[in-house]
Amino acid sequence: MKTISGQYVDPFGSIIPAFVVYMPAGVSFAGEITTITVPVVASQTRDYAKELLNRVRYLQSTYVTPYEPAGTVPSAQAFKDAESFILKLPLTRTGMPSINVASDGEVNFCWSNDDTHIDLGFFGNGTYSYYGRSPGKEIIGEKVETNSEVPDDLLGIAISAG
Amino acid sequence: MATKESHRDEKSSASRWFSPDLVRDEEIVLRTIFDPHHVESGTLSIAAVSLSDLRSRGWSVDRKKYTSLWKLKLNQLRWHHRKPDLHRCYVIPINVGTLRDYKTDNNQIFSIIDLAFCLNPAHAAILLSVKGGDGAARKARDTLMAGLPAYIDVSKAFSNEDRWGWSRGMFLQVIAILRALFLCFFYRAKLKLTS
Repeated sequence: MKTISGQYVDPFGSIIPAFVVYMPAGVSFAGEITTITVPVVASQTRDYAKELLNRVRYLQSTYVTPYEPAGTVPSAQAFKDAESFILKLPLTRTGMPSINVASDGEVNFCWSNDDTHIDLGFFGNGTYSYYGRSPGKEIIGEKVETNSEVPDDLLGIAISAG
Repeated sequence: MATKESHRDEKSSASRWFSPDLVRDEEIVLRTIFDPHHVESGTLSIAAVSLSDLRSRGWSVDRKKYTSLWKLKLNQLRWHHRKPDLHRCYVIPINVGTLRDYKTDNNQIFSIIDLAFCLNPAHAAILLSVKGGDGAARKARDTLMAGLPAYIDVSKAFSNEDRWGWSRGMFLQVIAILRALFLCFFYRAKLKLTS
């Protein structure tokens, strides 16, 4: 087996493998490569906000009708509030919450690991509520305005969960 | 507008006409998972328990002793027509006694009440023993989630001995309806006699 490989040199410094051609033994490569179209294989850093916004948009397109008997789907405002909340989070420090929809129309954010947990949700009424715990600390927030800054106590636990 | 207060008393039935009996500590109740997104990561999402259910509507469960495998599968099949992406039927088997043992400041956190419907004698509900705000309900949801066992395929929740569950429940429901009718006529006759 003969291998021909090439590299794509990024102008900002990183080197990404661009192509690898595997050729069976006994077959010779007679052609000449003049131009190569290099696809963008993978981004070097994760765009957390984009991933979460995509998740919210996916859920919005999925929950057109409820998944449970006697359930309701979230309002458009609940999804909008969730999107604006994502843009306020320092996601490189807090890490990625999981986002899901409950049968009562809540768009729910959850950070959870062994000893830290945050449960936060939007119903589209202009406010949100949360509960968080970390070792020796417990926080509860009720009716926090969606257009206000993210509370420091909440951020503190989110960062320790992230 | 005044809203109807939720029934939270475990010592009386929320559905006297249709209830086979009150929910006992040694019972197992089964929660069916309808939304596949709630188990997509392999673990149960907290969104599987809605706050409104916990606070007031009641988180619906089926009493295992009064339901059967075919009944739960039939429910799922009916719903499958509306949501074709429901491929599997999972349930969470919950021990009533364990759930009733959860306490905060020596007060029971969850009530499990019987809420039987006509032709569904197994229906019961889990809700907060004391009315509270969203934040308190989220805290209770965290407690509930931490104590819930793993979800399993519905066929693994039943053994061969459980096959008459629904029939047993229906038999007791018919008795409950007859008893209620008898009491109705009895008190009516008594009123007529005294007036």
